[in-house]
Amino acid sequence: MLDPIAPTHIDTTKASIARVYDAALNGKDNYEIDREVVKRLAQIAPEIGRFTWDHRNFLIRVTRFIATQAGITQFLDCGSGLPTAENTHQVAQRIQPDARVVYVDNDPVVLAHGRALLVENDHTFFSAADIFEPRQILNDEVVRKHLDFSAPIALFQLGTLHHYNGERNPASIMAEYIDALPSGSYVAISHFLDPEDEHTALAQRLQQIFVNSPLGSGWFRPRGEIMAMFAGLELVEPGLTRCVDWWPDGPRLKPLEPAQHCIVGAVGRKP
Amino acid sequence: MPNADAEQSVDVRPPHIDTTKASIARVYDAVLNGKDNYEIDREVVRQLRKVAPEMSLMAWDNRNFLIRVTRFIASQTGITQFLDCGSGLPTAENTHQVAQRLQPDARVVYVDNDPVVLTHGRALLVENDQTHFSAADIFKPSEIINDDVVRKHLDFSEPIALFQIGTLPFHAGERSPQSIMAEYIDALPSGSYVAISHFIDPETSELSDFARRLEQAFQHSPMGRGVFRTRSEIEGMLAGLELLDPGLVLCADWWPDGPRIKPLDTVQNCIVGAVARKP
Repeated sequence: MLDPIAPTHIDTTKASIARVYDAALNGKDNYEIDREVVKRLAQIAPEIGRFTWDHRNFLIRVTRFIATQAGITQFLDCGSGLPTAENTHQVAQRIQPDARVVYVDNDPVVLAHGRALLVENDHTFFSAADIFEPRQILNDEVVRKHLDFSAPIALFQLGTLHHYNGERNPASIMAEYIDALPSGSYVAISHFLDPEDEHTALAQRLQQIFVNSPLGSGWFRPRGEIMAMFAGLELVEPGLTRCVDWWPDGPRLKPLEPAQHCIVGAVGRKP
Repeated sequence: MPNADAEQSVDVRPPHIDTTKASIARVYDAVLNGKDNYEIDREVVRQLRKVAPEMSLMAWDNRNFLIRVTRFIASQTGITQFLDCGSGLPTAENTHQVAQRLQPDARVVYVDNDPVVLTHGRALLVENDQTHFSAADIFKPSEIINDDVVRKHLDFSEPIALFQIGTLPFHAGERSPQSIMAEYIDALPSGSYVAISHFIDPETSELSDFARRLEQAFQHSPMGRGVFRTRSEIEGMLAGLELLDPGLVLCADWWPDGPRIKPLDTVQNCIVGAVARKP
């Protein structure tokens, strides 16, 4: 339901990152323009759904790891997207009932519809700040009110930084976030990868479709550039890997599809 | 709704609960810091903790193994039928919740004949029409396989996931646990998965003595049993199946949720699990 007090304007002629993800995950909160992007991606990578689920399942496993093992109860999830079967707060609060989660997203559909679904209890909050402006986030009233920056925080930038189209280097955006986090904090990033191997051609073709689509972004970066986003952190094992290979839920029964080589993630700890 | 309760009590004969006897389900519950246990169960836990102060880590390893195995089976194998032998008392996450989150149409039949599980646990576990309960004896495969509830809700012509998680150490009968499992495995269709976890005697100089002392503590407690078996004895329970990677390992090491941050306690070296597939 739209917020009756301040209805957000939704331009259905423009694709949105959150809605394109939703379409790729087989959700129903997307428009024709979003589905068109997914159709074009599926023409060269029919496994685009698995590619997107790898991403989402990485988020779920990372949240589980942090909630069970790191003892952290504060989560700052930048770019929540539209809700799916399992969202950060559900996973974290199942393990740590008092975990506090602040979602940040400025997509109008997320703000209207997604927020209503995500903020279902008084430990879960929402901010409409810009996730690519660390200072804005760090000084945001919702963030400051519900997260204590003197205790470790888990910061997520999952599937977000490859959609940044601004002037800054994404590594410098992350450096500003990391600098503000207290010692013992964890940072998780997932990102489209140019694997610099036989799958490079696919990565480049996918990038072309993303960038030339109404989204205008979706950069497949080489490993070195993604590693630079973790500067100052100690990566937990096994380091930066394909999302599907980060502590999977049991042995892999199906072979990897080519696009699954082009999405990686890692978790780092601030010493 | 008191009226509804009154109506129900006409049909349901409350099982007799002997609070002077410890029960596996309630001892597990006590170790996991639950509240559905009696003094006699807590006495067992106190005796076990004299040998293994971190006993609860072992119980959680067992429980978390169940959760991860269920997640794997529900997400990767396409199986939607689960036969969970020895459900125990419900905890934060139970088989049907984990399975149905991934496969909304998954059917789960829990089997347990503990009186407290049958009254209180069943009421909590059977929360939707794809989750069912049988009071048969999990150490009598022919009873389970021919059970009305099992037969009504599970289709034995399609692959089934069978769980015996933390149950077989407590079998007190004459029959070997290997032969019990062989009868189950024989009844399952090809493509089925079997998961077991079991107390192990790691057969190393530093751990074997510890495992045997903990076994003694079980046997001399009001629980009266709790057998620690060797690797080959436990592997013998999976005869005829193909073990999945990484085989029979510590429950804590079966596809864990991320890297281990804290070192393992001694007691965590004494519980193992495996998942296997019937060819």
